[in-house]
Amino acid sequence: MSGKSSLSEAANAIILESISDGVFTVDHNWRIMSFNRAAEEITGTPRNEAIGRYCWEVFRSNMCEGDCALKRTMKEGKSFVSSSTYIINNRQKRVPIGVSTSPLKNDKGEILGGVETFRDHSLVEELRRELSGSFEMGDMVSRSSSMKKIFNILPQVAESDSTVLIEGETGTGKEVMATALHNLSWRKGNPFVAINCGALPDSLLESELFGYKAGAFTGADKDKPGLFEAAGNGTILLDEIGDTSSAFQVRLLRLLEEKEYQPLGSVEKCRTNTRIIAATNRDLERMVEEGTFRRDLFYRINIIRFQLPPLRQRKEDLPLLVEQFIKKMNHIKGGAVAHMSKEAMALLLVHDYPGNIRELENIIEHGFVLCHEAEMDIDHLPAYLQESGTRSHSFVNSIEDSVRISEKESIEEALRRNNYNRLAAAQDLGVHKSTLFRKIKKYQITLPTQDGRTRRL
Amino acid sequence: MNIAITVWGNRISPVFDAAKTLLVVEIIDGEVVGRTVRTFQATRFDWFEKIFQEMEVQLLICGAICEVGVNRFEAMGIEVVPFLTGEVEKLLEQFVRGKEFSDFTMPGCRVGPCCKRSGVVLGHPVQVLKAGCKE
Repeated sequence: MSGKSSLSEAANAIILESISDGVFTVDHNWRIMSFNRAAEEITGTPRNEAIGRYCWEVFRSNMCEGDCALKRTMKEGKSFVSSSTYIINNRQKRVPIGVSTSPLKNDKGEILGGVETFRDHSLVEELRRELSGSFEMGDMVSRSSSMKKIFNILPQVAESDSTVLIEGETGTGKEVMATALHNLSWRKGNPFVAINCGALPDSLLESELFGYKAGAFTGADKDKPGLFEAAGNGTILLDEIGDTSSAFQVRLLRLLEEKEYQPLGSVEKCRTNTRIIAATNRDLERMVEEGTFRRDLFYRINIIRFQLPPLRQRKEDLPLLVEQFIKKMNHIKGGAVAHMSKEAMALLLVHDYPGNIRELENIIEHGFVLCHEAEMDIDHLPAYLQESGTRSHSFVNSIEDSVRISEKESIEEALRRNNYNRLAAAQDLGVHKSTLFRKIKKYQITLPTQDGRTRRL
Repeated sequence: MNIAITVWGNRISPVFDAAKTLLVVEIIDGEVVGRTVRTFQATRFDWFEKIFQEMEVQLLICGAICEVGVNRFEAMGIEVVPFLTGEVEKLLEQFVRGKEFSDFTMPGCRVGPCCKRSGVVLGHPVQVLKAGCKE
């Protein structure tokens, strides 16, 4: 018997040493009793240094101080499987791991301590990062085919110096895309300047862009450089270009053609090497046809045109965007939100996003104000979303009702048309007679005592 | 000089990234003359920068900390002695006596000041302290 026992102990030891999961055991005082080879590799701590030490000194997990899985196991006497966490190894690197814990019991069922097994998830994380990286371009993330096409050509467009026109509804990320173009180009080290052309009257817009000379107008005490001068070899984004006046469009056209501009009050022209990106939420092509946007300027800026799809047409990107905004807010606000609950995500998926990605970002920011837990739930989302969720639910019900009512009416109409001959009505409706009988029963349609078949007879 | 220690009860917090409490100790002429406790979120480096400036902290003693964290503190001009473990009072006792931290080094440590072949130069007493790793 003792021979068998010692054989199984030896076998256990061999198994423990050969597996790729780290395993260690602790006693009631949290001192490490055993530490396998994989545990040495993952933590970077040799076994002879680990044995006898407190587990938190060796394991160094972010769970140790607060939510220790082993502590819960020892307290409740039950196992816990697969908590995701990370440790800091002896090279100061964060190692993502999955942890499972079990109580260590003797033959009599007495708890002797606890056993913790952990698996290195570095490779999984690396692959996940690489995979998500293929959906990223600058600060833009997307899995949608329409955005993927844009991502594919964006680096080439960035390399060129051609003027780019970005079209898209408000909040679709036109400025983010312009920034990505700038950052992917050789101009990266130079300034990126954005200006909303629609927000300023002509004279102010011109002085902002081209600058002015002292004495150009009352109050112009000294020279003021414009944004083109400030941007230098960088990039300038002219947002809402569709909202500019015809007079400004002429000036802009001249600048694009001659690469020169004239500050207000100056007699000399200044050369510029700034790359111009224009953006608009309006349909410039239609505006050209209507005569509200200059055709020559349109053709001058329409060298490369991107059309950013609205968020409602790329809802497959919602999980990715939500994840990105959660990460961003965690960083900015120092929050600890890990993810969105399934219910909250479902609610986000049914919304139409008239404000597009900007609206989604605001929704997540709203959630961060209210959420102090790891999971952001429906309660943390804005009230208007919760209400629309309820409305869409009742809408679904009404659709089902409508289908039911409509089907009942169609059957009644077909029966009337065919003098209540059920076989003829079924053929008329294009269904089998047994289906019609079933539906007549389901909708409790009352049939006259003398039907078409009887009459025919 | 003022030193900051991330604490967990009466011990050094095992992982800086998950620590919640900071003890700032004022040491004058080899004696602890003041203590302040603050709670924090380890991800808020801007908070540390502000607090460390306000309290004139020159040295941070902590448990395991990732490389990024060390770099952030070093960029702020704060010396970091990482991978230490044990009771805070005993460590402070050693510190004011100017002794080495070798007894407090975490097992398996390969990144302590001695491993990097550099020392922590303190204002008082003028000496070099090393968190010697066990070979």
